[in-house]
Amino acid sequence: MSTRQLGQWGEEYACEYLKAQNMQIIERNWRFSRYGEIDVVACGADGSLVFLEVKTRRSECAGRPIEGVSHAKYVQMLKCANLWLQMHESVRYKHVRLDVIGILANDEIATPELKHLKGVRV
Amino acid sequence: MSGRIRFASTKSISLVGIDGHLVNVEAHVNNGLPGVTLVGLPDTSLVESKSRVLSAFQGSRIRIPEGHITINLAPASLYKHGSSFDVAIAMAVLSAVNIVPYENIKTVLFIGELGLDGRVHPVRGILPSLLSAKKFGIQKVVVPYADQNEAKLITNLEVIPAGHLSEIANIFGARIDEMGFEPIKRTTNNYVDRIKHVGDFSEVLGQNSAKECMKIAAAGGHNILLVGPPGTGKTMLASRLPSILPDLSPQEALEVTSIHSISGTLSDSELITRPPFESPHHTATAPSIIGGGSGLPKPGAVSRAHNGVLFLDEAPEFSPRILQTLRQPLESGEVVIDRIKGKARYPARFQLVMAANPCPCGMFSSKHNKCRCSSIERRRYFARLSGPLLDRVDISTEVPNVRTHEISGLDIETSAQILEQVISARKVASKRLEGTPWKSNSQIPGTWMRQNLKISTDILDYILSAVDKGIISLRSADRSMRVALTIADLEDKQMGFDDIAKALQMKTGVNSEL
Repeated sequence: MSTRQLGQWGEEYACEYLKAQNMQIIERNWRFSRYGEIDVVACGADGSLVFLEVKTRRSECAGRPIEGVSHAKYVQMLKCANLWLQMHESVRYKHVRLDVIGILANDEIATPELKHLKGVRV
Repeated sequence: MSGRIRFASTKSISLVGIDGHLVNVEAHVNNGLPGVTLVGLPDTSLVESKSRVLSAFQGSRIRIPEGHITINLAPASLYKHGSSFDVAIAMAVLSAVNIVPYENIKTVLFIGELGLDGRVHPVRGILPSLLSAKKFGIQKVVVPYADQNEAKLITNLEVIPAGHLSEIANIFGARIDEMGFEPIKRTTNNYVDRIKHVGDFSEVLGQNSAKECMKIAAAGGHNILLVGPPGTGKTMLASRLPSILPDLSPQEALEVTSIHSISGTLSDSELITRPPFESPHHTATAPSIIGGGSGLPKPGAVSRAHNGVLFLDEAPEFSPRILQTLRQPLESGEVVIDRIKGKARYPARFQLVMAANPCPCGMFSSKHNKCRCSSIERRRYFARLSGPLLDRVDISTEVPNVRTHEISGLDIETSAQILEQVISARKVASKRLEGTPWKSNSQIPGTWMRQNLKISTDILDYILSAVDKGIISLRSADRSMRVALTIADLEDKQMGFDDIAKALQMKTGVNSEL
C-alpha cells in the first residue's frame, strides 16, 4: 500500500468513525487551488460545523500521527476553512471548529488506533 | 473537550547572585496540537529545556497523552536562566497528565538538568539554592545524584538524590518501569584538593623580614605588597600565605562553598574549609576579576577569593582599569554588578596580596643597585599602582636579593609553626572583637577602634603627626593602627609605641625608597 493509498484509506476509516459519532459528512477532499485541501467537512447533531484533517501513519517511528500536523498545516487549514465558508454561505451552523484525527494502523494491530482532537488551537 | 483541568505545579529556585528566588513551575495540557510553549521570561538555555524534557520522556519510555503543553515559570517578571529547571518542568508535566499524583509534588523543590536519555545531570549553585529554599520553608528537595553531598551540607532538609527521571517519577507515586542506568558524576577538577596542597614556608630561603610581614598579614588579614627583583621569592611567599591562614569558620565555609558552587569550580561537592587562593593572570579582563558575563552576572576572581587570598602577581602589569575596580570591594567587602537583566550581589571580602618588580628591568634595590632604568621609567612603572590602591595596602615590604650567608645555619620556621602563632594572635583579636560583626583586625572600623580601645594619647599624637607631615593619609593612619594591633596581638600584649612605629614603617617602607 502506497502512502497515498494509506491516506485515502485513513480518510475512509475516519468518515466511518464520524458517521458512528452521529455526524453528517458534507464534503470530502475539498480543494481550492494552491491554498490546499480540507480532508473532511462534517456537521454535528448539535449544529457544529467541523473541518477535519486526517493523518494516518503506519508506525510511531517519526512520532505519533497527530504530531504530523504542523503549525504551518494548521494555518493552511484555517485559510481553507475560511474560503469554504465564503463559498458556502447557505450552510447553517451554530459554531465552527477545527479537528484533527490521527490514525495508527498496521498489520500488527487488529483495530487501528484512532485519536480525535477536537477544537485544536495553537 | 474533557472537563478536567489538566494542571499541576512544582517548585524550583532561580539564582540571582547568591540569592535564590522561589519559582513556581506550572504546567497545563490542553487539546491543542501537540507542542510545548514555555513562558515566564526564560533565557536561551532554558528554552532548550523543552527539547530536553520531551526527549527525556521518550528516554524514560513515558508516554505523554497528546495535547498542547504550556509551561509557565512564575513569577513571570523574574529573569530566569540555566538548565536547572528541567526536572521541575518534567515533573509538573507528568503530574498535569495524571501520571504522578499532584498532591505528592505540590510543595517539593526539584533541581536538576535532564539528559536526552532521562538521566539527571549535575547543576551549579546547589548550595546557595537550597540555603534560600530553606528560608522559603521548603522541606523536601530532589537534587541530582552527583550533587547530593553538596546538598547534604544543609541540615534540617530532606534531600532526595536522583539519577534518572523514571526514578524520580516512581518516588512520587508513578507506576512506570524503572530504567537501568549509570548515575552521572562530576567531571571538573577538584578545587578543594588544589587549595589544600600549598607549599611550606620553610621552602623559602632567607627573606626573614618579608616572612615576618607575611605572618602579620596572616594574623590580621591585612593587605600586603611585596616588591623585589626577579627570583627572590615574591611568588613563593605569596602562594604560601594560605598555609599559615587558619581554617574557615562554618559560616565562612558555607559562604565560600556557595560562591564556588555557582562559579562551577566546586567538584566533589565538598565543603571548602580552607581559605581559597585566587591568582588571576595579569592579562585577565575586568569581568573575569570583578564578575560579569552575559545575562545574569557570574562571580569573578574577587568573589572566588572571598574569605581567602587574592594574589596579583606582577601587579603593575595589570590594566589600570582592573586595579581600579578592586577599590570598591576592598572597602565594602562585596561587589554589586548591575546588568539590564538584574543586579547580582556577591560577597568579596578578600585579603589582597600584590607582588611587583620595583622597575621595568626589575633590578632596582636599596642594597646593591644594578638598575638600568631611567628614573622616569621607574616612576612611571610604579605609578601604575595608583595612589588610592596603595593607600589600601597595609603592609609593603621589600623582598631583596638573598646572600648565601643569610640562608645557612638558621633554623627556619615551618608553616605549621607560624600558623600556631597566627591562630593564637587571632584568638586575642577575637576576644577583643567579641559581640561585634568583625572577625579580624583588618575589618575594624576606625571610629570603633579609637573609641573602644583606649589608645594612649602619645601614640595617637605620634601617628597624627605623620598625617600632618603628609606622610600618610587619615585612612592609612587607621590602617597602620590596625597593623599595630596585630603586631601586639602576636606577642599578646597591649599595643605600645614600638608597635605603631613598626606598623608605620611597614606602611611607608617601600614607597619612600622609590
